[in-house]
Amino acid sequence: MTVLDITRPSPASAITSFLYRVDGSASWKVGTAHIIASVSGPIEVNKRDELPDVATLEIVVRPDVGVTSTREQFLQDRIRRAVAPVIALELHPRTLIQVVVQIVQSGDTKILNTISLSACINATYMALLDAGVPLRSTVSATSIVYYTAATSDASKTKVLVDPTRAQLEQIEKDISSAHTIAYELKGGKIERLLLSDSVGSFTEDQVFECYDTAANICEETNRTMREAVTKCVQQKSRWREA
Amino acid sequence: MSSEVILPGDPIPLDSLIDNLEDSDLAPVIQLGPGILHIPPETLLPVRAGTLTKLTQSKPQESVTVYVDTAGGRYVPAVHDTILGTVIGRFGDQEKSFYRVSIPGSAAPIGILSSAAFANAASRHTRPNLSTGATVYARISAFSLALGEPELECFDEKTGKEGGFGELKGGMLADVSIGLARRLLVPSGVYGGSAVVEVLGQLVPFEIAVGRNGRIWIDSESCKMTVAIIKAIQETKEFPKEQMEERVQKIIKDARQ
Amino acid sequence: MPRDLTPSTIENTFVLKALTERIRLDSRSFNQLRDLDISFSSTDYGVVDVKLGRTRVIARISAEITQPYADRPYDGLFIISTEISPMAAPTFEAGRKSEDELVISRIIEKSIRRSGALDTEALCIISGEKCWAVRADVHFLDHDGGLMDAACIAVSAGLLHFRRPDITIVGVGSRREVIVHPITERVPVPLAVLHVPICVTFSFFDVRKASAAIAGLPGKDNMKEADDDDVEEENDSSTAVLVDATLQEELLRHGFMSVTANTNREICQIQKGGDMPVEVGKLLSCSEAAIMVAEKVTKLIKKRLKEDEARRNVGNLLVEARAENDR
Repeated sequence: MTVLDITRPSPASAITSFLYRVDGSASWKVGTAHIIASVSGPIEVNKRDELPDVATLEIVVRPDVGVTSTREQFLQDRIRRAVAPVIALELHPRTLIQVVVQIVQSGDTKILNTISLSACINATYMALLDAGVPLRSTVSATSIVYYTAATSDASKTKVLVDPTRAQLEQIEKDISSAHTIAYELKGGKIERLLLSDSVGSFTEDQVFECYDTAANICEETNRTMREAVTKCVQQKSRWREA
Repeated sequence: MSSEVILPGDPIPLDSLIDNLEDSDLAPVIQLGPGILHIPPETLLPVRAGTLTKLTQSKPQESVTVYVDTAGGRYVPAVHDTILGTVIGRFGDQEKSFYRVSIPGSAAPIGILSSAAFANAASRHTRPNLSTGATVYARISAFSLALGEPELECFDEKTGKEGGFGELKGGMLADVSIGLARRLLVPSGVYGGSAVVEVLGQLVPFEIAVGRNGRIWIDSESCKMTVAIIKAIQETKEFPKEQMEERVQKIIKDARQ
Repeated sequence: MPRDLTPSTIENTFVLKALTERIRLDSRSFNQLRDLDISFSSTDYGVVDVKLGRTRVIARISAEITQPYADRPYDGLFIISTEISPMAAPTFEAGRKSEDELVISRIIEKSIRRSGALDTEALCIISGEKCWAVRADVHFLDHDGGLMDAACIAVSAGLLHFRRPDITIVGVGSRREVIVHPITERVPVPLAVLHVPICVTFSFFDVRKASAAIAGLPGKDNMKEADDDDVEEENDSSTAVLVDATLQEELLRHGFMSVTANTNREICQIQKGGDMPVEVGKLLSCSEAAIMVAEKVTKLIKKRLKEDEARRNVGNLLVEARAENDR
């Protein structure tokens, strides 16, 4: 296996609990992407969506520009796959957990969804956490882009992690594949793979390589989440001081 | 008492809990509070982010209570909780009628209050007649998310007397976080309680009712003072005690001018 | 989908009683705006974040090249999208327009698009063939009253901040082509904004209802006894007019009027709602107050724009590039 050339821009930043009318909110910024997610719940559910033994999970993704399209449908579906397995929906039967994900800046180019998807998953998870919805573990996602860079002697495969839009635009024609990976973590350690979504052409080796890279990045992302949550909880419980 | 920030899925080693207890011949007792699930045989799983709080207790038995304390989130009704709700309708006949009571901020938004569930309601003539929009201070007497609407009662369950429950008149309602509502209801001197009511009480006479659904009702000598008291409670919810006292005194002093 | 908050009698009586003592729950004076904060995206043009107290709105302006309408070959397109998601408040349903939402989008439409704030003729590239379509997407993040006021500020500021890529037309006749220069290559072009409309909403409270409720007397009977001159005086003090109501005040008010004004002292739009009649005098004083608010808000927008430009313009590169463009 060749030594990978991995580039990672500035780390992600997260803020929680800044909206007042919903039960939980989070803002997630990585690369050029900026996502805001809100969670209300458990709240009253529409009779036709009601489930007798579990809570109904509704995820609405709203585009930064224009009306909802297949792109948002795709994101909704993938976010659900990544976060639903860790929500203890059975603790709040016959209610609704309503998630709204607002893309403020997608950070993607026109042909990719990779960056916004991983940012959406992270923002959604943080908002669920902030709302106090019962969760079994933590979730972190990252995006990885493979491209061939033509150097003087030969072309070489390079890797970008959570790239900015400017970086993507520069290499747009040379992108070979793009992957979004979400892991479940417990106590900051990788537990299991929740989502692996890939587009483009790539080898089997590359996929596994990707999982390894993502595992490291997700643990780092998870630390960012923990820091943000700790800061928020400490802020709210200043009354404990002496 | 110890406190650290915990996230869902973080391990809670049993040893760390039992270590808090002094040696005892009896088997250690661990009580689980909100935010922690027990997965048999001996895994404790935190299911929300917050401050992991451990409280040890020696009477009546050596035990440790552990829970994840959070400030926000949505109120999920529980039996024995007191709530502040608004009457939004009435159904039934003359003999047996019920009020529909909205519980703002709650996972189950509408509660049912029987007109017979008041102190002195034995006779039809002594039952209160609530109109739409009336505010009631009530207790949840029966509820499960799976079964539907919470049932409410407006009398003290121990004495059967009024005990401050029933329709509230005058004054003003305000929103607080459910964490603060809980802290306002903790008896003074017990860990986790908020002293803001005591501090205010030394400065100005007022009445307060706290609903676990994150609503409070305040009545005092004047509109201006009521507004100030609400402001004092909302603004200082996160403050450490000394800072809170200072701020509360300032707000009340300003309102007096 | 929880129901809308139903204000209780207690809240209703208290708010009205406090207003007779000229007290608002957040200790503001009647004609005082909440804290207003306007910030721009550090990367993209035309992305504005407006915080008005606890109300928060993000507007995003974008532009793409499209074909003009057949009946208006010289006009570009300008669309404002104001869909409210449950993020603003769980009472809003996704994908379904409530009545409030319709009122809000209508007022914003009237305030900005129909008042001609954006010169759509300047968006024309090749008449009948190609023009710019400018889009304003308004995202409501948090709802504590005054959604339309905040949205109007956000869209107005966004239009001023937005830059579209520069273009060149090459070729002649039917073989004309448009070349779009990416903003990394050429300094992008601002939109032709003709004026900056600012919407100010006034909420009316009939405080006679309060005194009636407090005294337990029907208010109107008291009124009849007074003679004509007194009635007018009474009328003046019997209506409380609040600027920039919070959600609680919005839910309890008896009537409202939204006035959109600009710094040219022009009224762009007036919309009155609720079942309280408004006298001519009130209408005039509200208009005057709206102009004053518009001046204050426009000043803040201009200040923030300047700060943003200074931040982007490190090393004075932009100014040099622009000077070349002007020639």
